[in-house]
Amino acid sequence: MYRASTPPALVLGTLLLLADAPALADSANFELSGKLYTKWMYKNDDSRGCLSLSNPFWPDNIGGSNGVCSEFELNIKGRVSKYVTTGVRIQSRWGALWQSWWENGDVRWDYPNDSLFHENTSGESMGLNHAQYMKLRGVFIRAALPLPSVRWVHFGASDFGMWNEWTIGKLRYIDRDNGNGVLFEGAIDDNYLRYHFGAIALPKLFVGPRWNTGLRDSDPLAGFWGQDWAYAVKLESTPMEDLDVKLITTYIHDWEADRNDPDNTGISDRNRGADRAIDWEPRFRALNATLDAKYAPSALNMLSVSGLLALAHNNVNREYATNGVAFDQGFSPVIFPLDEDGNPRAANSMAGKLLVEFFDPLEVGLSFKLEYFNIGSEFNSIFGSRREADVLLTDGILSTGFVDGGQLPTLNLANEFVDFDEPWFESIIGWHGATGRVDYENGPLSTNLEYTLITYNTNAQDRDVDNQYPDFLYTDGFTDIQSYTADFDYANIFDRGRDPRSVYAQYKERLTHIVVLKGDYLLPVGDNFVVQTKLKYVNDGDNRRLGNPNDNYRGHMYLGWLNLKYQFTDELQTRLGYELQYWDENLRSGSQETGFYDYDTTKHTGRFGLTYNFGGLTFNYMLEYFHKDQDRDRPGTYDQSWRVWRSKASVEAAW
Amino acid sequence: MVRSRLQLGLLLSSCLLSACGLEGFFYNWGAGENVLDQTVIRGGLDPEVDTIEIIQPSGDTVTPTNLSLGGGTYEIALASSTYSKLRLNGTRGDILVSRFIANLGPKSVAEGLDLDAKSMTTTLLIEARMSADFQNLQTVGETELAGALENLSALYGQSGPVEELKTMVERLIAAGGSPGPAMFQTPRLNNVFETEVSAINLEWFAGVSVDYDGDGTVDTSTITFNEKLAEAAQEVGIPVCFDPERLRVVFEVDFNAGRLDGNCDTISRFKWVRDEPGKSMFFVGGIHMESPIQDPEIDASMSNTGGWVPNTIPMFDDGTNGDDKAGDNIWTISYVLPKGLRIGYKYTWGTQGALWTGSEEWPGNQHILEIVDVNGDNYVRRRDNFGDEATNKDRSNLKRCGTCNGTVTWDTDRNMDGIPDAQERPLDFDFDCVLDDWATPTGIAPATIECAE
Repeated sequence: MYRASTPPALVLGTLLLLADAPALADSANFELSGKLYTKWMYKNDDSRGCLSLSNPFWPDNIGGSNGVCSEFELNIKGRVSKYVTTGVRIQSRWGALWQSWWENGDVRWDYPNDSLFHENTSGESMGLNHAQYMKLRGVFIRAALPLPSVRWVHFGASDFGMWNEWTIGKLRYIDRDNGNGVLFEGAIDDNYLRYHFGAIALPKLFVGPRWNTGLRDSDPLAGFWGQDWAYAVKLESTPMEDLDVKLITTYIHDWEADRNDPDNTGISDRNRGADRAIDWEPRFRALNATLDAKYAPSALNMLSVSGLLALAHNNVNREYATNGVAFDQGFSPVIFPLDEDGNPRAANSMAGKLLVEFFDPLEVGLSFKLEYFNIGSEFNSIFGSRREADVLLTDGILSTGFVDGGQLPTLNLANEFVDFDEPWFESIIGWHGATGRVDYENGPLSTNLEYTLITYNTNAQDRDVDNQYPDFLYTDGFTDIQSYTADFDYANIFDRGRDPRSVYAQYKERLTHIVVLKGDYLLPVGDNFVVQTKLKYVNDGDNRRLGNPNDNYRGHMYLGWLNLKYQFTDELQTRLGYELQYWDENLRSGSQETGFYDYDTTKHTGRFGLTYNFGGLTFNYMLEYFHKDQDRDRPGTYDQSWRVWRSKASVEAAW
Repeated sequence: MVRSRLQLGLLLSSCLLSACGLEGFFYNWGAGENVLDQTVIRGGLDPEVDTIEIIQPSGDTVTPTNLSLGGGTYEIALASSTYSKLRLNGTRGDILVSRFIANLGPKSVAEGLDLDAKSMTTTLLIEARMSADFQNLQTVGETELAGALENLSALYGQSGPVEELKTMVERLIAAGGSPGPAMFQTPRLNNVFETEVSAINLEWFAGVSVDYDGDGTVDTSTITFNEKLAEAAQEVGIPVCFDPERLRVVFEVDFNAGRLDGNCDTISRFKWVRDEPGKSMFFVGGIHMESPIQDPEIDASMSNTGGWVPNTIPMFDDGTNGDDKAGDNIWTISYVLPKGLRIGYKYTWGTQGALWTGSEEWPGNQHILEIVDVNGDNYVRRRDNFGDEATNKDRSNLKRCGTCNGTVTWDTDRNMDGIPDAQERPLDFDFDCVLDDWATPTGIAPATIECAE
């Protein structure tokens, strides 16, 4: 026994030596990185903030376009051993303006009005999100456990980039640390079977009916969200050198406490069946699966064929989920379908796409791409990518020259918490069509020409948009994504067109053609002068109610964009561009009862930008003038104009 | 290999179960469907109402799983359970028809619980009687309520005040039906059956034209109704079971000028207290160290949290909380305290949160009181004159007598009335320094318990 055999003096001496020893400054197992980011925003309006389009639902006090904001993040990565790594990100909260001195995060009670966030002179009026508090984010432990086939087990934060857009999508940038799970990665055989397993804590917001998993404030039929999970499996195989196959299956389960459980309905009497334990009932279940494969024969390296088959199953328990279609004016991330007898049923739908690519088969710089896509009318990847991803080849309808876009198979798009220069995303639920694209690259010239035809599986007559299918209230007209951010117009006060999530309408018989020509050309003037251009034409037709010739929508979008980029030095690049859009929309808005009326829209956008890099510092500046005239024939409406100047600048340094 | 697979199996199991939310699937595996068993109430409706509220004795409402109204009937389904002392309130505009239900069992169906003038009359009578007895639904037992309802039921159809009151209620209900405040409100009688709050809402009454007593003229006063309700309420019997272990203790302090102390000398009430505007009376005390009962919660309720904190517990002179009369400068506070408890206490004339100086009756020392119901009325009523240093003040007592030594203990009786000075005492009605008679408090209920089944 140590205590019996070790002389006390020796123990004491050892302790004294240890006490005197200096603390080891062993930072070898620490990896620190930091980043400072500051953004300036200006717009010729009276909004205050550093984010063009903020929370659409809870009107917060972050969004706005005049102010300067800074943030800091500290990343700590720990190498505990060769088998175990850890990570933490400590990040300041976004939202405090340079102009807002003294704000301390407290919320002074506005006596006697009893209202929160009432601005006053106290320095205690705007809440903690204006006080730059540091928040613990992105916590994970990753371990290479000595288990058969397992490479890594990951506990904690992840952006879930290992799944795909159709199942569990990579989290958008602002959510990149918010998701947590337990994830396994390994391989039975490096070629034949690689795998990911994951159990992911469902976000209490957005993955479920009414965009939540049981928040009583949002859904009075629910109230339990602490045990809701998603489960995911990805199996990958390369059975032959030229073929990659991937199977992903995800399952979402939102539990609620059984409101009929005897313990929830009365006294704790055993004769009533009460047992001080409460059963759970599912509120929402969803299964999404994809099987995708890519074949690129090495013997024919100009050819690549990739395809994806997807399945979506959404099952809402209406006992525990309020019907958002019926009670939220048609705003719902899930549908509430009924069977022929009027009974609730699950939504089941398939989707598929096939992309065939020929890379320069004639060896003259011409490549050909052809994509077929068919998305079921009730397909919905509720936990799929909400933005910052794109599943189709087409340029789509939304994107412009200055503002990029993408297409995603979900009703759960998130075109919010963005600035005016960020991409927009549209739902492709029900899209059925094909894209053909020719790419040409020859020296300084890079160009492509696209044609896309879209028919719609969601075309239907007298669809029930009152109780079953969400129409997001605004179903008509080209979506003006620039007005969206210029006006903070989530509620469509200023008639900015169709909601990008609006795929269902009471009467829909729609057909769309898209033609796009893009080009980049390195001018033979100096070495650093690039001209970029985009010409786009969208022909969008919707005959709406069959038999009514007076409601046939015909929309023509003409877009021309020219952008000049000049790299003055290694450090400095400047950009100057102009975009013209003209929308000729016949019978754009109205109703079967009042009739439909024409719209003419002209938009001019000019932008100047520069980027400067020096010694680890990056400075960006962009100034935009947005000029729009919208002529409306609808009785009772007036014509509208936009003369918006806005700018965004940022400086950042990372180390 | 086997070992590592076992390791993998155990780790995966623990991860998949405890860390991944899978327990819910196992726990609910094979769980049968919980059918919503219901407790159902049915009855007739006269008049028709738009909605019915179900109220528990605590004042909380019960949300029905189903409520159907119309065609002169109603049906309420509640989640199956035991319900006790429910009140139904059916309303349409200003019309209110109520009913007490003594008890309902799980999965039971109660029929014939009509909401009409008769049930409303019964409700008013029960409420009036409870107020006269200082009771409420939380203190009245379920069995006692059921008995009272049954007894009352037998009085209808017979000549007498109950039937006459029902006729008046019928006429009042017939005068309703318009939007506006409810026609009835909770009546309050004192313990000698005098009306303190009418059962008829005066705001409603002022806006209607009704001959509720049937004398052929429109009534302009609720007095006749009040008197009939008070008369009929005396025929309602609701047994009261007093708390065998605790008593209602009412402290009163007279702060009027010219009051006499235990020596019959005029008290100088501002001898130690500063006479400043904005002040009111506060109570402070604590359990005496010689008390056989010690209870930190009681101590805290008297603002003794390790030491007496003055000017935190306000007394009342507004006719509420047991105060007899508003504005008479006799301030009141009451507690329900264990029998045999011994306490020290003092009054302060101050402002909320003020310090001792300038507010206490006298520096140091205290009143002492043992919780004993001397006159057997189920109350302890102790009325003191502010600043009286010659009655139950424990030290430096100024009482002058042959054997007085300035100290009062629990059995000291220096006024020789047979009652220890540190217990309750009769009141001096004419302020002549002679204790006249006992008086039971009328503004607050005694300590009661629910009667045993």
